Amino acid sequence: MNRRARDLQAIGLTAFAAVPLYLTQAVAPLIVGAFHLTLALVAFAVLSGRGAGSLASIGRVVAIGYLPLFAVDALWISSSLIKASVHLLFFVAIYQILDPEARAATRQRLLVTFLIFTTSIATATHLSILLFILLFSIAAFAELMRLSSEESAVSVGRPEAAPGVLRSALLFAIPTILVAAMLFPMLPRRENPFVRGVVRGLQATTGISDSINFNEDRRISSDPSAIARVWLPQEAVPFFTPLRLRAAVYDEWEDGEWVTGLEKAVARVAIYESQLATARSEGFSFPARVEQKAMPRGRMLLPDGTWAIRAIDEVNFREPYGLAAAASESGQLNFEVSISRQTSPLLARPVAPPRYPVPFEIESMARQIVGAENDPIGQARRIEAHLRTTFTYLGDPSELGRPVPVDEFLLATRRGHCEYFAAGMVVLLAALDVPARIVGGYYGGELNPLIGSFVLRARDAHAWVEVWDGSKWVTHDPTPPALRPGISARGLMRAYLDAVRDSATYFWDRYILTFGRNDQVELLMRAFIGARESWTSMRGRLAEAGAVAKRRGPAAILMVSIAASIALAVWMLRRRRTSWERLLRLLDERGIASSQSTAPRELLEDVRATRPDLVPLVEPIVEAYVRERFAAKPPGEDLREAARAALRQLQST
Amino acid sequence: VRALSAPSFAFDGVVRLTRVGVGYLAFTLVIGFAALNTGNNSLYIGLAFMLGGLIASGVASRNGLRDFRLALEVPGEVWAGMPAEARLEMKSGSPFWSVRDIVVVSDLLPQPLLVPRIDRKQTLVVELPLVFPRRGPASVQSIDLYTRYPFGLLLKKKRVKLGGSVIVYPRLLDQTLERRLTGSRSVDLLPRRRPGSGSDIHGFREYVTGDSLRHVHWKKSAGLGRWIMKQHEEETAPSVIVAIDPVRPASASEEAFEEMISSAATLLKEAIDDDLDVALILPATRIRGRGMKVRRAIFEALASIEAERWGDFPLVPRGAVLFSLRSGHESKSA
Repeated sequence: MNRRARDLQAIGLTAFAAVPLYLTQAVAPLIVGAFHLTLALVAFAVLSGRGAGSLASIGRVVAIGYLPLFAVDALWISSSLIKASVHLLFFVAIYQILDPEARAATRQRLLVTFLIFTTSIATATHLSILLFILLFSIAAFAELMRLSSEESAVSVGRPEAAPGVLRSALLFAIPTILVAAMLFPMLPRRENPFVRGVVRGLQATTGISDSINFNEDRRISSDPSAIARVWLPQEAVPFFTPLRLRAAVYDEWEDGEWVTGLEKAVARVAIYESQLATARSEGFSFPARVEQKAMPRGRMLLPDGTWAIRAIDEVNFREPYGLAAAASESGQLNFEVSISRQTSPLLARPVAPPRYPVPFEIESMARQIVGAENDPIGQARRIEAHLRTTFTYLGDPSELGRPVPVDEFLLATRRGHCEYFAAGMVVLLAALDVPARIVGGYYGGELNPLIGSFVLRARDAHAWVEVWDGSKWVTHDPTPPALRPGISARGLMRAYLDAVRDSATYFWDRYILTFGRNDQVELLMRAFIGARESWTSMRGRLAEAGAVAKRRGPAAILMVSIAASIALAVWMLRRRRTSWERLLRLLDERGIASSQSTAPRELLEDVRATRPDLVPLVEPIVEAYVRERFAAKPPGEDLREAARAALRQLQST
Repeated sequence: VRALSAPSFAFDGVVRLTRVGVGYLAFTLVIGFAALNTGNNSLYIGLAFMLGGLIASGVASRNGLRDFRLALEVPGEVWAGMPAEARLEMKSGSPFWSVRDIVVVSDLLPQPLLVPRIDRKQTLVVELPLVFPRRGPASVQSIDLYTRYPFGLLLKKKRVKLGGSVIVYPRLLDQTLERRLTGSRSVDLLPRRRPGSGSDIHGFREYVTGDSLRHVHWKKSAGLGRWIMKQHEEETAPSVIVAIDPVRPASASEEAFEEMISSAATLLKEAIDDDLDVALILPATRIRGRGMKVRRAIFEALASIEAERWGDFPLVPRGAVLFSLRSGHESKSA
């Protein structure tokens, strides 16, 4: 490999190490872009044969000039020690690439590249980082192997190393991956950091807000990040899908916006290994498991119909307005719930309609919609059907062009997104003095048949309505079903690919990104239980075999003894080949035939003529044989040993 | 010269961490600390890869060298102080590992030799210019193989023990020195035509009593009127006879003795190369002959000759070149 190719490879590796920073945004993308642009210019200069040596002094001045600014950067400009450190690394890397002497110092250059690589992976949470690590490893291995070859060549005074290390690096990546895969779950995990303040939980966008204010711009998230995964028993799927995960309840109208009431009435409830009842179950009930990846406003996401929670350490109880729990270090919350088609509150208490200032026109409209219906649920059904059929759903709130109050939505524009539909229904019911509330959460989700879970994403955020029927809350959804988020028609192939992708993401999230000490303990326990079960099973089989032997004991022992005796006799009486016979067989295998009349020396001459390379091995054996058979004195121990060694070597040749 | 071979391995192991290895290890520790402190599984993946690379490197370098088989052969003559044309057969028995950058080191090698690459299951023969410092029986006890393969993190060594022995012939002197010691080209000192029992006529002489009538030259006798006897020429080529007195007086240094042997060897080699008859006379041995037949015997005798403290002065035939360190006899023709 010539110098130019080596330089380009070095530049490429350094540039590649920083690529994930665009996605993780641990450093401003503009800075990463400037870094890459500089490297690209240097690469162009190297490629055109002009070299970048003239710029080395500038690079040195800039890198050294940044040193006193490092503290300023860390404290005020980027306000982050890590960001400032990455900036410093960028400067050093550019200087190393610019200066031919520094560029030739491969060890130092590799160290800086590895540091950039570390910052890249430390801030990454996406599955694609695996591919990056793999590619970087191959490139880094190639660089290390080239360096190793160079050092070996220098040690014997040769100027050039052996070429062609990329294929070897590729081959080494495979065992490295296997070893890394085995090591990863075994590496020790600590619960608390040595140095606090560095841990950062996962971040994900959600569509859940603390309040709904129609005087502000509303946006619908298109973020495909998974918010939660829910496992339902097969038999429960028809009754509980499309899934609704409740995150927030907006039941009060206050200062022009819908907010969650009764915040002050939060009770802190701790539970240990017992389930926390949040409602009364009515009718059949099923278990469900939830893995919540994100905590929208610190809230738990409970499937609609949840009446009990278990397998979670601590919950802040806000029923019926919401539940909050502390996520694990990884930012994930895993729990199990019991769900029922019908639930009722634990405590019966009067529920009042929201104090919304309903205009006369809306009250008239409501009465016109419900007609002669007196039952609150019947009225709710009529309003729900009216909104679904006569109002227009807008997927993109920006199409409204300006903030539109609910009154205007109901009376004039009649167009809006799910929150308008939900708020409009609550307002219409309030006009009829029917208690109702807006519920924010996630709706629908995709079933992943490969792992058997429903995955709900940030873009599935939705709002619907719960109506008080006098004893319990009943779910209504005025948004036209086909237009609700979380409902999408997909082809079979697309669905399959989505399932594969989601499974990969799930396993990445569950077993890589959030793998922790509890998982290690579980893994250990499983191994222990598996070993114990295997031992128990084997012991049982041995006992069974022993019992059989006991029943057929004398006959079995006799049979085994006879068989063993025969085997021993055959082994003892078998004729062992002499060294000479072994030599003849080995030579025969190598194309040198002999007969009974072939004299030893004659055989040696045959070997000399056909396979001179074997002569040093055959000669001592022939000599020992001749002395043994024909000489007056037997061969000495030295000759015997030499013959034995030669025979062994001949066998391995 | 016997072939040397025996795949006996005595010492394996890490010689040391290289500077790259120290850096790699330190970096792994840093990532390990960061991963442990933050619980960041991305860092744990990086750590697992670093450790995986370290383990793969150790296993590759160890197993790559472990399955090596070496055979050293010295097919030609071995002269002290001159590079011998030794051939090292390196056979990789590993079904998996191809090894690169193997450095072959031996006390007998003027400088280490780099073998760039040996693929798995490959046999490679490399020329090994071994230089034996002294004449006499010698053996290559071991050969060391070093490698930084694959990533240059560890410098690993395998010492391969070798059996067998070679006879190292004496050091040869350059022509100038040899002539200074012997005075002139030795073969010029010797008569080329001698009377003998050959078929060619060497000369004529008068009849003496007892001469056989078979040797009468009838034509000349008739012409001269008396008995003229013809004398036949000996049917032998010109020869070099070298006698060596192995006694080294106390006043003579070991270097002088070796130089004397070297001088004799140089003279004999020159004569043999010129296809002359040669003879070597030692106190207990006389070797005479011509060409390759005696070459090996003569030089092996010269290789194994040892200095003696005392002994009889050798009987030196006429025309022989005597090499002796005794007073007044240093390297002179008798």
